[in-house]
Amino acid sequence: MLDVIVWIFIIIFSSAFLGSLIGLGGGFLMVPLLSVLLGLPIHEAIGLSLISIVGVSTSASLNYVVEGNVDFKLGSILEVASVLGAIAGANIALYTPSKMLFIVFGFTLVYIGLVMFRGGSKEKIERLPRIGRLKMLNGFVASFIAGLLSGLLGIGGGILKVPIMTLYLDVPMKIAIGTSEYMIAITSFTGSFIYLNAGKINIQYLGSAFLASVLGAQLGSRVSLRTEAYILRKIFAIVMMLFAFIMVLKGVSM
Amino acid sequence: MNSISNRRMVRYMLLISLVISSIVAVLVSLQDVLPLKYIFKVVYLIYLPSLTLLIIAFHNQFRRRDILGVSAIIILIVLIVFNILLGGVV
Repeated sequence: MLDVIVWIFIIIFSSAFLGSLIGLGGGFLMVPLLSVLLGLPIHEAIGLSLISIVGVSTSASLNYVVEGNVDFKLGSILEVASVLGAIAGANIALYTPSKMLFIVFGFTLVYIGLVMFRGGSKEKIERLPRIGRLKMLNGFVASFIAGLLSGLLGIGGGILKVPIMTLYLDVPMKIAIGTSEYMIAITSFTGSFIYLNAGKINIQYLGSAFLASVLGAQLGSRVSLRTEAYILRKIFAIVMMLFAFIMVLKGVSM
Repeated sequence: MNSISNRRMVRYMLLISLVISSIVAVLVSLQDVLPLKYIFKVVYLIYLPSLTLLIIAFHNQFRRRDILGVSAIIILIVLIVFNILLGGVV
């Protein structure tokens, strides 16, 4: 038991640290590492990842909120769709066989890897634009899908939410990242509550998971100021393709 | 989030909630070692940071008199409360 707790600490600390280096939660690293390397059941890996993301995103939000880089109005409106998506996603996941989840996660990782490899979108204007109703509707639907994937697969969904805001809604990158962190904290809370309540999370792992996520995110966000995120994103993209292949293979062979 | 004292308060609120949640998570994990079985439900305190963020957001939108923002946060709170009351399955 103790060695599993130590391994969970190491995995979540490094995922939160590495994720924060490139402005993400790290759920896309936690679930494959916990389920493939440590051999935890995938439902438990997803639940633990979501709880850890609560720690990571709140820890990261701390800086964004204080610096005024969070648009609470836009985030709260889009978050209504994300929360509904997360509730649906987590409930679907509870009734979905592990085999299927491995395969879906694998293909989602391919998408995330491709987005990362292409790099972030260019910096847009530094003021908030007026958002039309049609654009808002698009953003609302896309946020629902992001929440659904978050509840279903245990990822924070920042990799989806940031492009939604920058590409669909023309929100400046800095504010999009800050707002998505605020949204992720609420989405992952809603999703993980369902896993926790369904008894899918071993609460003996909670301490090491939560502590590791808070510490990893704080360290990662401090180091990120002094590192070149561009190269890291490319390396992560390649690593993720490898994980995607392993997860699909594991799902198919189950 | 305009004045310095507000920023400081927000920072402290989030930091304190993160510390409380970390302590609660560690204590709950040690349930075999510590006699915590009677306060088992304390486990849900790990969501304190998310709720703190929601309170900060509500305060921010309420102060700006932004009806749409306040309504969105109230809907969020209602959804979360329903999710909790119905045991995680809406």
